[in-house]
Amino acid sequence: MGYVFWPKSLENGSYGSKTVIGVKEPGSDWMVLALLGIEEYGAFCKSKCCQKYGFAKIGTWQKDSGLVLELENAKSTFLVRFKPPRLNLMQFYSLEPIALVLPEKDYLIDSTVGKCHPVVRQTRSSGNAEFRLRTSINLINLYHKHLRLLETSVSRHMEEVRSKKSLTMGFTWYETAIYRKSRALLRCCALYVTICAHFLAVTLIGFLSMTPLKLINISATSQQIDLRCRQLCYFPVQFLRINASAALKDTVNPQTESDMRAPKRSTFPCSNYPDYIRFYNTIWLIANDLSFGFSVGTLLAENQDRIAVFLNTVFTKYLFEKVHLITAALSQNPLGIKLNGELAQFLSDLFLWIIDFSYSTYIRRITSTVSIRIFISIISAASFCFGATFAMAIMVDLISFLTMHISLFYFISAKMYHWQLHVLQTLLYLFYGKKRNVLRNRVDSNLFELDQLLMGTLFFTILVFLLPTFSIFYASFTLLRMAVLVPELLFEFLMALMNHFPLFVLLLRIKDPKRIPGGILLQPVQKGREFKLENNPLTLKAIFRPYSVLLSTMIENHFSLPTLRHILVGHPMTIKRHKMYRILYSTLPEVPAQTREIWASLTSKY
Amino acid sequence: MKQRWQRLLWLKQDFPDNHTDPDFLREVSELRNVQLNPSSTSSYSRVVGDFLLFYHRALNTGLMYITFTLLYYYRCDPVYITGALTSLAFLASVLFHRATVSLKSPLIIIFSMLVLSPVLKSLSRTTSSDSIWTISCWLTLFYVASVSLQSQSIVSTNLLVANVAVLASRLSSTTDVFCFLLICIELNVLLPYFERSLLDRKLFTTYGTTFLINNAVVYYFVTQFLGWIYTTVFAFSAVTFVFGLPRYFIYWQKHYYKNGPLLSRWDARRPVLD
Repeated sequence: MGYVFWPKSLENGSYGSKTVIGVKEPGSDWMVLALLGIEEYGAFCKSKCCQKYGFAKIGTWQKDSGLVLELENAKSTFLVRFKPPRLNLMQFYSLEPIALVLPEKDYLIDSTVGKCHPVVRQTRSSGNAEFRLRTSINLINLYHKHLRLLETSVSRHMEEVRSKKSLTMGFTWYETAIYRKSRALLRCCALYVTICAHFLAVTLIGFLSMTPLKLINISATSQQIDLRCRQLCYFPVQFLRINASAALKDTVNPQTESDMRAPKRSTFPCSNYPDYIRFYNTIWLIANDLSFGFSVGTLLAENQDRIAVFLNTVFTKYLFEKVHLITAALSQNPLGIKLNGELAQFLSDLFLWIIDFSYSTYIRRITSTVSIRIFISIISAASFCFGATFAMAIMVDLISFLTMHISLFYFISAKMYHWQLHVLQTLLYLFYGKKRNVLRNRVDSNLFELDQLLMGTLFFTILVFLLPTFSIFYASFTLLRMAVLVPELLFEFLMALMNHFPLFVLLLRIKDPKRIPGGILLQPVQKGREFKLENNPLTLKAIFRPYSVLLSTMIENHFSLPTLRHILVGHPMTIKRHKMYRILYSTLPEVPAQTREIWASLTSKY
Repeated sequence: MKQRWQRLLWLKQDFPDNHTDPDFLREVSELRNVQLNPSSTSSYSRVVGDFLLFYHRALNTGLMYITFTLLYYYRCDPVYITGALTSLAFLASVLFHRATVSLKSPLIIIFSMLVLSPVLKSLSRTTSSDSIWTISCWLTLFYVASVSLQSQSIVSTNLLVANVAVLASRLSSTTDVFCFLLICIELNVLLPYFERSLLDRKLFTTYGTTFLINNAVVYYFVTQFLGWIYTTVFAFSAVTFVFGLPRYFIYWQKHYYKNGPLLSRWDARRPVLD
C-alpha cells in the first residue's frame, strides 16, 4: 500500500492531457511536483534532470478522467491532497509539535505533552510506517524548492527564465563602494558592542550566582537582572542559528545548484524556526515590558506624594502597630486559651524587643514619607530604563526587606515548634519503652535505665504542657507570614507573565497557524479513496503549558495538602524562587555561552 | 447424597420444620458433661496472696496522694520527711543489697529534678485545678491498670512519673516540688522494689512489718483527712477485695466454659454490616 501526495493548487487552470511529474526520496512516498504539457515534458526529458534530482514521470492527468498512475501497485495507492507549505513564509508540516522550550529543558514540563497529539500516537504503532511518513513530510516541506528546481531546468531548456527574475531583482543600486565600506564599519562596531555586552552579561550572571551568597535565590531584582543577562547572552547564539537557516534558504538560488543534494538531505530548513519564534518573542516581550514601564513609571512619578503618604500610614499601621498589638496580646491568654504564662511572656517579650529594634533601626527610616518618595522615584526611574518588571522586582524585594521581622518571627517560632514536636515524638517512644533504630530505620523496643525514664517522662510532661503556647505563637506568625507572602507571590506571578508570555506564538496562531504546527491531521475524503493532509496548529494548552506547570507548582508549594502537613509539622515555608523560575527559564540554556565562543563564531561568520 | 442441613433461614432446604441437627444434641450433652465435672482451680491462699500484692501497690499509690495532701493543703515542711526517707532508702540499699551503690543514676535523677522543679512549679499555673485533678485521676487509673497487667513495666513507671509531675505543678514553692518528686519516686519506685526483693529472699516477717506499717500510715492519714467513715469504707472494700474477690474468682474459674462449640456455633451471630 502506498500514497501519492498531491498539491491542492495543481489542477487549477490546467486543461487537456498532462504528464504528472513526481519526486521521491529513499524511504518516502511519491510527491507530485507539476503537470507538464507535451512541450514542457519534452524539455524535461531533454534536460536530464530526472536522474540528477530524482524526478520521474509517474502518470498522466486528464481534465475529465483525472489521474491515471503508472506505478507498480497503482490499485492500492491512495491520493493525499495537501496544501504546499511555503518555506519562505516559515510554514511547514511537522509530526511533532514545534518546540517552544529548548529540547534539553523538555523534562521540566514534560508530564503531559505527549498526550495532546493523537495523530503522532497512531503513527507510532509501527516504526517503519512512522519513518516513511516522516521522510514524506520532509519531502512535502521542500515542495517549492523541488518545484523551482524543476522549473529552472525545464525553462532553461525552453529558453525562458521565469523564476530568476524574482530572485535577483533589486540588488543593483546599493552595491556601491561607499555602501560597502560603511556597512563593514557598522558591522565591526556591532560586533564589538555585542561582544562587550555579552562579556558584561556573563560576568554579571557569574557574580549573581556566586556560591556563598546566591543573590538569585534571595532577591527578585537580581533574579530579573539574571534573566535579562541570560537573554542577552543567548541573543547572539539565536541570531546565528536563525541566519544559518536563512543562509540555507539562499542555496535555493540556482547558481549553486551543483551542491544542492548534500544539504537537502542532511539539514532540514525548518529546524531553526523555533529559535526564530523564541528570539522574536523575547524581543517583543522586552519591548512590551519597556512600554509598560513607561506608563507605570509615569504614573508613579506623577502621584509620588499621595502614594508616599498612603504607604507611610499603611506600613506604620500594619508593619509596626498591628504586629506589636498581636504580639503583646499573645502573652495574655489570647481567646481564653490558657497558655503557660512564663513562656508566653518570654516569647512575647523577645518578639516585642525584635519589633522595637527593627522599627527603630530601619523600618521607621524606610517608611518615612521622604524615603518612600525617594524609593518611588528610584522605582519609576528603573521602570523607565529597564521596564515594569524591574519596578515590580524592586517592590518585591522592598516588601520582603520591610517584613523581615515577621519572617524572622516566623522562622524562630517554626523552628521551636518543629523541635518541640520532634522531641515529643521521641519521648513518646520512650514512654512506651521504644526507641528509633537509625540503622534499620524502624522503631525497636529498648530497655531504658531508671534515670533515663524519669528524665524523659519529666521532659515529656513539661513539653506537653508547653505545646499549646508554642503552637499559638507558631500559628499566629504563620498567618502573618502568609499575609505577607500573598502580595509577593502575586507580584512574582505578574513578573513571570510579563517575562515569559508567549505573545509571539499567540499572534502567529491568529495570523498564520501553519507556522506553529502541532502535528498533522489525515482526513479521509470521498469515502476513503483520498485523504486530506492538514496542519494541526499548536493548541492553546500546549502554548500555555509552562504557565500551567508554573501555576500548579505554585499551588503545590503554597496551597496544597502536603504544604498543610508541612505547616502542621513546622517545616518553614519559603518562596522557592529558583524552583519556580526553572520552568520559565525553559527557553534559555542552563549555562550561558562563553564570550570566547561567541567571538569565534561571530568572526568566522562575518 | 442428601445435602447437609445449614443454619440459614433464607435457604430452601429439604428438611422438616422441626428438624434438629444431630450435632446440636451431641454438643449439648458435652456441655452438660463439662458443667457437671468442673475443672480444677488454683488454691485459695495463692490467689489471696496475689491480690494482696496488688492491694499493696495500690496502697503505695495512696501514699503519693497523702504526701500531696500534706504539702498542698496542710503546708507541711517537706524537708524533714524527704531527708528521713532518703537516708532510710540509702540505709536499706546498703543493708539489704550489701553492694556498692552506683551513685551516677541517683545523682542524675536528683540534679535533673532540681533543675526542672522551677519549670514544673510554673507549668500549669494558668490551668484550673479541676483539670489537673482530672488528668491526675485518669493517670492514676491507667497506672493501676498497667500495674495489674504487668507489675513492673516501663509504661507504668512513666505513667507514675507523669502523674507525679502533673501533681507537682500545683505546688507553690520549688522546694515543695523537688521534695514531692523525690518522696514519690522513693515511695512508688524504690519501696516496691525493696519489698519485692524482701519477698524474693523469703524475709516474710520483714515484709509483713512493712506491709503493716504501710497500712497503718495510710489509714491514719485517711482518718485524719477524711474522717472515720471513709476509713471504714476503705477498710471494708480492702477486705472485700483481698478476701472476697478471690472466692468469686475461683468460682468463675471453676464454671467458666471456654470455646465450647455449642456456645460459639449456636449463638445468635453478630450481623456483618457493610
